[in-house]
Amino acid sequence: MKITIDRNEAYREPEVLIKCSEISGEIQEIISFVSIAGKNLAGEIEGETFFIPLKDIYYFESVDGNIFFYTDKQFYKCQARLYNLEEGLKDTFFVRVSKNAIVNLRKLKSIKREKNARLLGTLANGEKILISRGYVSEIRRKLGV
Amino acid sequence: MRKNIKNLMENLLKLLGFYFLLFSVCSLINPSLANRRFAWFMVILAALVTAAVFLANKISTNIYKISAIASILTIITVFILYILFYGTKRFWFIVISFSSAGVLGFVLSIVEWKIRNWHIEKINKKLAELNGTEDDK
Repeated sequence: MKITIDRNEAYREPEVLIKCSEISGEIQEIISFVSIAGKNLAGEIEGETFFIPLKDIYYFESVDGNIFFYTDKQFYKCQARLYNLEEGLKDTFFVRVSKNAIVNLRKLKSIKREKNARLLGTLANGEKILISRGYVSEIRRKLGV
Repeated sequence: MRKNIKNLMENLLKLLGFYFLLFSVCSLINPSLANRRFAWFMVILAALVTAAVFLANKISTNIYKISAIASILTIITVFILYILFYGTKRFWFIVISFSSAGVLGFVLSIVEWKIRNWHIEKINKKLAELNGTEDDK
Protein backbone atom coordinates (compact mmCIF):
# COMPACT_ATOMS: atom_id res chain seq x y z
CA MET A 1 0.00 0.00 0.00
CA LYS A 2 1.34 3.41 -0.96
CA ILE A 3 1.16 6.15 1.68
CA THR A 4 1.45 9.79 0.67
CA ILE A 5 1.47 12.64 3.16
CA ASP A 6 0.84 16.07 1.76
CA ARG A 7 1.93 18.57 4.40
CA ASN A 8 0.97 22.16 3.99
CA GLU A 9 0.34 24.87 6.56
CA ALA A 10 -2.54 26.17 4.46
CA TYR A 11 -4.65 23.12 5.38
CA ARG A 12 -6.99 23.96 8.24
CA GLU A 13 -8.15 20.47 9.07
CA PRO A 14 -6.42 17.12 8.41
CA GLU A 15 -8.05 15.15 5.63
CA VAL A 16 -7.60 11.49 4.81
CA LEU A 17 -8.17 10.52 1.19
CA ILE A 18 -8.17 6.85 0.31
CA LYS A 19 -7.74 5.87 -3.34
CA CYS A 20 -8.77 2.30 -4.02
CA SER A 21 -10.55 0.15 -6.59
CA GLU A 22 -12.79 -1.45 -3.95
CA ILE A 23 -13.39 -1.29 -0.20
CA SER A 24 -11.62 -4.39 1.02
CA GLY A 25 -11.34 -5.57 4.62
CA GLU A 26 -8.01 -3.79 4.89
CA ILE A 27 -9.49 -0.51 3.67
CA GLN A 28 -12.44 -0.92 6.03
CA GLU A 29 -9.94 -1.37 8.84
CA ILE A 30 -8.26 1.92 7.93
CA ILE A 31 -11.61 3.71 7.70
CA SER A 32 -12.61 2.39 11.13
CA PHE A 33 -9.34 3.44 12.66
CA VAL A 34 -9.40 6.93 11.15
CA SER A 35 -13.07 7.43 12.06
CA ILE A 36 -12.46 7.11 15.80
CA ALA A 37 -8.95 8.54 15.96
CA GLY A 38 -8.87 11.42 18.40
CA LYS A 39 -12.59 11.22 19.15
CA ASN A 40 -13.87 11.25 22.71
CA LEU A 41 -17.17 10.42 24.31
CA ALA A 42 -18.60 12.07 27.40
CA GLY A 43 -19.40 9.76 30.27
CA GLU A 44 -20.57 10.41 33.80
CA ILE A 45 -19.59 8.94 37.13
CA GLU A 46 -21.62 10.25 40.04
CA GLY A 47 -22.39 13.52 38.27
CA GLU A 48 -18.81 14.15 37.17
CA THR A 49 -18.22 14.18 33.42
CA PHE A 50 -15.20 12.57 31.82
CA PHE A 51 -14.15 12.52 28.18
CA ILE A 52 -13.02 9.06 27.21
CA PRO A 53 -11.28 8.26 23.90
CA LEU A 54 -13.50 6.01 21.78
CA LYS A 55 -10.63 3.63 21.20
CA ASP A 56 -10.51 2.89 24.94
CA ILE A 57 -14.16 1.89 25.15
CA TYR A 58 -14.78 -1.85 25.29
CA TYR A 59 -18.52 -1.88 24.91
CA PHE A 60 -21.79 -0.02 25.37
CA GLU A 61 -24.63 -1.60 27.23
CA SER A 62 -28.22 -0.68 27.87
CA VAL A 63 -29.35 -1.48 31.41
CA ASP A 64 -32.90 -0.59 32.47
CA GLY A 65 -33.12 2.16 29.87
CA ASN A 66 -29.75 3.69 30.79
CA ILE A 67 -26.71 3.46 28.56
CA PHE A 68 -23.34 2.68 30.07
CA PHE A 69 -19.98 2.29 28.42
CA TYR A 70 -17.14 0.27 29.83
CA THR A 71 -13.42 0.79 29.67
CA ASP A 72 -10.74 -1.50 31.01
CA LYS A 73 -11.63 -1.05 34.68
CA GLN A 74 -14.29 1.64 34.81
CA PHE A 75 -17.79 2.21 33.55
CA TYR A 76 -19.56 5.46 32.73
CA LYS A 77 -23.12 6.54 32.17
CA CYS A 78 -23.76 7.88 28.71
CA GLN A 79 -26.55 10.22 27.63
CA ALA A 80 -26.82 8.92 24.06
CA ARG A 81 -29.27 6.22 22.99
CA LEU A 82 -27.97 2.88 21.80
CA TYR A 83 -29.42 3.22 18.29
CA ASN A 84 -27.88 6.70 17.97
CA LEU A 85 -24.51 5.31 19.00
CA GLU A 86 -24.92 2.45 16.55
CA GLU A 87 -25.66 4.91 13.77
CA GLY A 88 -22.85 7.26 14.74
CA LEU A 89 -20.32 4.46 15.01
CA LYS A 90 -21.32 2.56 11.88
CA ASP A 91 -18.02 3.21 10.10
CA THR A 92 -15.95 2.11 13.07
CA PHE A 93 -15.13 -1.19 14.69
CA PHE A 94 -18.07 -0.81 17.03
CA VAL A 95 -20.75 -3.30 16.23
CA ARG A 96 -24.09 -4.24 17.70
CA VAL A 97 -23.82 -7.73 19.21
CA SER A 98 -27.17 -8.01 20.93
CA LYS A 99 -30.34 -6.06 21.54
CA ASN A 100 -28.66 -4.18 24.38
CA ALA A 101 -24.95 -4.08 23.59
CA ILE A 102 -22.47 -2.59 21.13
CA VAL A 103 -18.93 -3.93 21.24
CA ASN A 104 -15.61 -2.55 20.08
CA LEU A 105 -14.20 -5.31 17.89
CA ARG A 106 -10.72 -4.01 18.63
CA LYS A 107 -11.28 -5.10 22.21
CA LEU A 108 -12.89 -8.41 21.43
CA LYS A 109 -10.47 -11.30 21.79
CA SER A 110 -12.55 -14.25 20.72
CA ILE A 111 -16.00 -15.74 20.32
CA LYS A 112 -16.98 -19.09 21.69
CA ARG A 113 -20.07 -21.20 21.20
CA GLU A 114 -22.00 -22.14 24.26
CA LYS A 115 -23.94 -25.36 24.54
CA ASN A 116 -27.25 -23.52 24.64
CA ALA A 117 -26.64 -22.05 21.16
CA ARG A 118 -25.60 -18.68 22.51
CA LEU A 119 -22.27 -17.08 21.69
CA LEU A 120 -20.00 -15.72 24.33
CA GLY A 121 -17.41 -13.09 23.49
CA THR A 122 -14.29 -12.61 25.56
CA LEU A 123 -12.96 -9.07 25.76
CA ALA A 124 -9.32 -8.05 26.10
CA ASN A 125 -9.79 -7.45 29.83
CA GLY A 126 -11.22 -10.93 30.30
CA GLU A 127 -14.80 -9.78 30.62
CA LYS A 128 -17.45 -11.92 28.91
CA ILE A 129 -20.28 -10.58 26.80
CA LEU A 130 -23.25 -12.33 25.23
CA ILE A 131 -23.49 -12.18 21.46
CA SER A 132 -26.75 -12.90 19.68
CA ARG A 133 -26.39 -15.03 16.60
CA GLY A 134 -28.55 -12.63 14.64
CA TYR A 135 -25.72 -10.11 14.75
CA VAL A 136 -22.92 -12.48 13.71
CA SER A 137 -23.34 -11.55 10.05
CA GLU A 138 -22.78 -7.88 10.93
CA ILE A 139 -19.63 -8.79 12.86
CA ARG A 140 -18.41 -10.77 9.84
CA ARG A 141 -19.17 -7.84 7.56
CA LYS A 142 -17.24 -5.41 9.73
CA LEU A 143 -14.30 -7.77 9.97
CA GLY A 144 -14.43 -8.48 6.26
CA VAL A 145 -14.59 -12.25 6.65
CA MET B 1 -41.02 -10.46 19.47
CA ARG B 2 -40.30 -9.97 15.78
CA LYS B 3 -37.22 -12.16 16.12
CA ASN B 4 -39.29 -14.90 17.79
CA ILE B 5 -41.80 -14.81 14.94
CA LYS B 6 -38.93 -14.96 12.45
CA ASN B 7 -37.46 -17.96 14.25
CA LEU B 8 -40.82 -19.64 14.39
CA MET B 9 -41.37 -19.08 10.67
CA GLU B 10 -37.94 -20.45 9.84
CA ASN B 11 -38.49 -23.52 11.97
CA LEU B 12 -41.87 -24.10 10.35
CA LEU B 13 -40.30 -23.76 6.91
CA LYS B 14 -37.66 -26.24 7.89
CA LEU B 15 -40.29 -28.70 9.03
CA LEU B 16 -42.14 -28.12 5.79
CA GLY B 17 -38.94 -28.83 3.88
CA PHE B 18 -38.51 -32.09 5.74
CA TYR B 19 -42.06 -33.10 4.99
CA PHE B 20 -41.83 -32.22 1.31
CA LEU B 21 -38.68 -34.26 0.95
CA LEU B 22 -40.06 -37.14 2.92
CA PHE B 23 -43.26 -37.15 0.92
CA SER B 24 -41.39 -36.99 -2.37
CA VAL B 25 -39.17 -39.93 -1.41
CA CYS B 26 -42.22 -41.88 -0.39
CA SER B 27 -44.01 -40.94 -3.60
CA LEU B 28 -41.10 -42.15 -5.70
CA ILE B 29 -40.92 -45.41 -3.84
CA ASN B 30 -44.64 -45.97 -3.83
CA PRO B 31 -46.25 -44.52 -6.98
CA SER B 32 -49.68 -45.31 -5.67
CA LEU B 33 -49.34 -42.26 -3.46
CA ALA B 34 -49.10 -40.01 -6.48
CA ASN B 35 -48.00 -40.24 -10.09
CA ARG B 36 -44.31 -39.99 -10.84
CA ARG B 37 -44.49 -36.55 -12.45
CA PHE B 38 -46.06 -35.18 -9.33
CA ALA B 39 -43.43 -36.97 -7.31
CA TRP B 40 -40.60 -35.31 -9.26
CA PHE B 41 -42.32 -31.96 -8.88
CA MET B 42 -42.34 -32.59 -5.18
CA VAL B 43 -38.65 -33.50 -5.24
CA ILE B 44 -37.76 -30.19 -6.91
CA LEU B 45 -40.04 -28.27 -4.59
CA ALA B 46 -38.58 -30.05 -1.61
CA ALA B 47 -35.04 -29.33 -2.76
CA LEU B 48 -35.89 -25.67 -3.26
CA VAL B 49 -37.62 -25.30 0.07
CA THR B 50 -34.89 -27.17 1.91
CA ALA B 51 -32.16 -25.17 0.20
CA ALA B 52 -33.96 -21.89 0.89
CA VAL B 53 -34.47 -22.78 4.51
CA PHE B 54 -30.92 -23.94 4.84
CA LEU B 55 -29.46 -20.84 3.20
CA ALA B 56 -31.69 -18.58 5.26
CA ASN B 57 -30.57 -20.59 8.19
CA LYS B 58 -29.81 -17.93 10.69
CA ILE B 59 -32.26 -19.78 12.86
CA SER B 60 -31.83 -19.77 16.55
CA THR B 61 -31.43 -23.48 16.89
CA ASN B 62 -28.38 -25.50 17.66
CA ILE B 63 -27.48 -29.04 16.76
CA TYR B 64 -29.39 -30.40 19.74
CA LYS B 65 -32.52 -28.48 18.90
CA ILE B 66 -32.40 -29.48 15.24
CA SER B 67 -31.85 -33.10 16.20
CA ALA B 68 -34.79 -32.89 18.58
CA ILE B 69 -36.98 -31.42 15.83
CA ALA B 70 -35.81 -34.10 13.39
CA SER B 71 -36.50 -36.84 15.93
CA ILE B 72 -39.96 -35.57 16.76
CA LEU B 73 -40.71 -35.17 13.07
CA THR B 74 -39.54 -38.70 12.38
CA ILE B 75 -41.62 -40.15 15.18
CA ILE B 76 -44.72 -38.28 13.98
CA THR B 77 -44.08 -39.35 10.39
CA VAL B 78 -43.61 -42.98 11.31
CA PHE B 79 -46.72 -42.85 13.43
CA ILE B 80 -48.79 -41.39 10.58
CA LEU B 81 -47.35 -43.88 8.09
CA TYR B 82 -47.99 -46.71 10.48
CA ILE B 83 -51.64 -45.70 10.73
CA LEU B 84 -51.91 -45.22 6.95
CA PHE B 85 -50.21 -48.45 6.01
CA TYR B 86 -51.18 -50.64 8.89
CA GLY B 87 -52.05 -54.06 7.58
CA THR B 88 -50.57 -53.46 4.11
CA LYS B 89 -47.38 -55.24 5.09
CA ARG B 90 -45.39 -52.43 3.49
CA PHE B 91 -43.04 -52.15 6.36
CA TRP B 92 -40.10 -51.40 4.06
CA PHE B 93 -41.96 -48.23 3.20
CA ILE B 94 -41.99 -47.21 6.82
CA VAL B 95 -38.36 -48.18 7.27
CA ILE B 96 -37.24 -46.12 4.25
CA SER B 97 -39.31 -43.13 5.33
CA PHE B 98 -37.85 -43.33 8.79
CA SER B 99 -34.31 -43.61 7.44
CA SER B 100 -34.64 -40.80 4.91
CA ALA B 101 -36.03 -38.38 7.50
CA GLY B 102 -33.43 -39.41 10.03
CA VAL B 103 -30.49 -39.20 7.65
CA LEU B 104 -31.66 -35.88 6.24
CA GLY B 105 -32.05 -34.41 9.70
CA PHE B 106 -28.68 -35.70 10.75
CA VAL B 107 -26.85 -34.48 7.64
CA LEU B 108 -28.47 -31.04 7.80
CA SER B 109 -27.60 -30.73 11.47
CA ILE B 110 -23.98 -31.64 10.94
CA VAL B 111 -23.61 -29.36 7.93
CA GLU B 112 -25.22 -26.46 9.74
CA TRP B 113 -23.04 -27.07 12.80
CA LYS B 114 -19.90 -27.18 10.68
CA ILE B 115 -20.79 -24.01 8.78
CA ARG B 116 -21.47 -22.09 11.98
CA ASN B 117 -18.23 -23.29 13.54
CA TRP B 118 -16.37 -22.37 10.39
CA HIS B 119 -17.75 -18.82 10.53
CA ILE B 120 -16.74 -18.48 14.18
CA GLU B 121 -13.27 -19.79 13.44
CA LYS B 122 -12.90 -17.21 10.69
CA ILE B 123 -14.05 -14.43 13.02
CA ASN B 124 -11.65 -15.57 15.75
CA LYS B 125 -8.79 -15.70 13.28
CA LYS B 126 -9.52 -12.16 12.14
CA LEU B 127 -9.88 -10.96 15.74
CA ALA B 128 -6.51 -12.50 16.56
CA GLU B 129 -5.01 -10.58 13.62
CA LEU B 130 -6.56 -7.34 14.88
CA ASN B 131 -5.35 -7.90 18.43
CA GLY B 132 -1.88 -8.52 17.09
CA THR B 133 -2.02 -5.27 15.15
CA GLU B 134 -3.05 -3.38 18.24
CA ASP B 135 -0.34 -4.97 20.39
CA ASP B 136 2.31 -4.07 17.85
CA LYS B 137 1.36 -0.47 18.24
